[in-house]
Amino acid sequence: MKSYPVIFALFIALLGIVVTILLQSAPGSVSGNPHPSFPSLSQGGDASRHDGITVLGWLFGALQIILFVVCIWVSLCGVKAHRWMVIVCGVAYLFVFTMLMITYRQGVAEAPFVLGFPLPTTLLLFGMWPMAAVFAILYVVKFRSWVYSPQDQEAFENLKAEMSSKGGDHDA
Amino acid sequence: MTPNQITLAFVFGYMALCIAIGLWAWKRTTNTHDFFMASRNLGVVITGIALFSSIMSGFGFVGGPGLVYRMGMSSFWILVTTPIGWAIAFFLVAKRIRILAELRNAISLPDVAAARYSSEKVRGLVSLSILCGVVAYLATQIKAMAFVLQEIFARNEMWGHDSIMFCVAISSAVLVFYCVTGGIIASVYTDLFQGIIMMLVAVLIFFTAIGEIDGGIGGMTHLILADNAESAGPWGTLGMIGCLSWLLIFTLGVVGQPHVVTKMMMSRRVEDARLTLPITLGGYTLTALLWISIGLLMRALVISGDHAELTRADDAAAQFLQYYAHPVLAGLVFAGLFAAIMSTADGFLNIGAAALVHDLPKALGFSAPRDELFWARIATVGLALLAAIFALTSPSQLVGQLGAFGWGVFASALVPVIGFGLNWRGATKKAAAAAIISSLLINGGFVVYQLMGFRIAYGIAGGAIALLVSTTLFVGLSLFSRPDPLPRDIEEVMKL
Repeated sequence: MKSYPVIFALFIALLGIVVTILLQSAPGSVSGNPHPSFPSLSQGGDASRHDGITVLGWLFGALQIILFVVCIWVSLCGVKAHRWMVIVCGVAYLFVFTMLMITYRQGVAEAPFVLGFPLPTTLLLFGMWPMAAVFAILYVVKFRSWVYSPQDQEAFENLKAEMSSKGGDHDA
Repeated sequence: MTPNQITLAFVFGYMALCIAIGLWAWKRTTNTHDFFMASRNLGVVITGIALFSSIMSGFGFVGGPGLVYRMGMSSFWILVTTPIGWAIAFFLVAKRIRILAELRNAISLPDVAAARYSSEKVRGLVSLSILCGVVAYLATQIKAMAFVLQEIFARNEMWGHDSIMFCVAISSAVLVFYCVTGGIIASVYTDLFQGIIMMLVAVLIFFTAIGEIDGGIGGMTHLILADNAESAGPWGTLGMIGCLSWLLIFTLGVVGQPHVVTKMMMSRRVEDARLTLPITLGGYTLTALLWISIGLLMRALVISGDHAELTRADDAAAQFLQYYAHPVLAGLVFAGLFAAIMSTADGFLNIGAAALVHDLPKALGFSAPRDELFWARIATVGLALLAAIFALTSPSQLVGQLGAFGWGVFASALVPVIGFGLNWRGATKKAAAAAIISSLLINGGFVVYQLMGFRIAYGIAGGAIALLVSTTLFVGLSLFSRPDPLPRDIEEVMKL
């Protein structure tokens, strides 16, 4: 995959989505209104505040998730073995985000309570949060094959020795 | 002892600890390599804890609970971005920045940028963006420290002293003392204590908070949902698009925070990154418990009429500590809060001093001053003074905007230049310059826009827009121009 043209396309697409959203007229409660009884709190109106931008919102989030996966992908240039795991984790992350959007559209007030929160919020806290942590686990488990292999280490040591023997001012 | 006296004892105790660490680190700081880079000798645990405590400033103790109190679940999007943000930062940056730092004896992030792009202009622009972000961030941290101390002193019968200038003077004096004497060594070791305190108090606070309402977290959420379902939903009151803009700026933004990536340069070995990441993540996750639990509890209690409405959302943590926490726990939390603010501020002071004394002269064609360590210490004092004066004389609304400005500038300037630049042979110096300049202009423009009373529609974070524009410029300009020639060692580093 030519990664940087893909990254460029993703950023253009994200910018395009933001511009499209900004060009829509925002409903009054889309970013919350003061609470009628407690001015220090805000309220979110109801779910209709997102009518007309739900698909754009899903796209905005989905493209970001794809971008995050591509960012990790580009850091693994030269790695051949098992890089597909990053894609699988990305697909799972995207799936959880999509389920969050779907359950939200079905209604927060009507949603079942799971682990102390309405289901869409549960998917955020207990779905997206740990799902993202899987990427950190991949980093730890695959460090020696993906990130800094013994061959990389040897190459770095050789490079250090070569630069030292050349001498001269290599200070940044 | 009264609760207030207990709190004062913990806070002064922590300040005394900072001074002691400053004196200990002073003996170990003999050159700028020690002052800015801790001689590149930090272990896994200290690096891991220093990383998360740099990010988790007073915002995690005060601003975060305040956001949950005011907006419901919206700010959870800042928390859930953390694992993937840290993972991306480690994948993209940790290895190469550590290697490059050792090969080129780099002691600052602009050093790394200058080496990567073979450009003093890029060094200068990175330094400029760091200075702008540092002064902005420092001003918010100094003001936060002063407000906390003011709150504590005002309740004390013996002191009863609530002058903000006095509080700024006391808190800044301790901060400057250990930063000047011990540089980054003092900074990371105070971060270590701060991180441990934060993790401990977050767990204790969490269990205290969930015991205050029947049903614990579920009980809190039921109350919040009954009042307004959207505030208990995944977007809170901020709304879908605002929350998703936070997803972008706080995930990718970690990659561009100089007080984070500079610490990646200080580890003893390249391979230490493997264990540093889980320590950092674990610490951050634990401290997030405080953010969630206090905010939810206070919102639920106010809605149910069991607690008086707060004057300001940021009072959520202070009110919780005053009314619901054991005095010893409250004292420990206040000390932790101080520690959190100071640990972020000291990192900024150090990188700001490096930019002023080490990098800007080089970028302008001068050599570094002869006694660079001496001037680094002077610059540390100067920066702290400047930020303190700025914090005291600027309107509150401006200071409030500055934290977001700082994060946004760092994210939009440095994510493309450092994050992508260290992984992409084709990234050019012209693209790097364009990204940084656009970052400063757009983020600065949004500050002015919001000071004039306007708001970005849908609650979209200005920093997210700046990041999108700067990175699009960076990648686009690089794609459509010929790659710059690179020195051999940089070529080899890019292949690792």
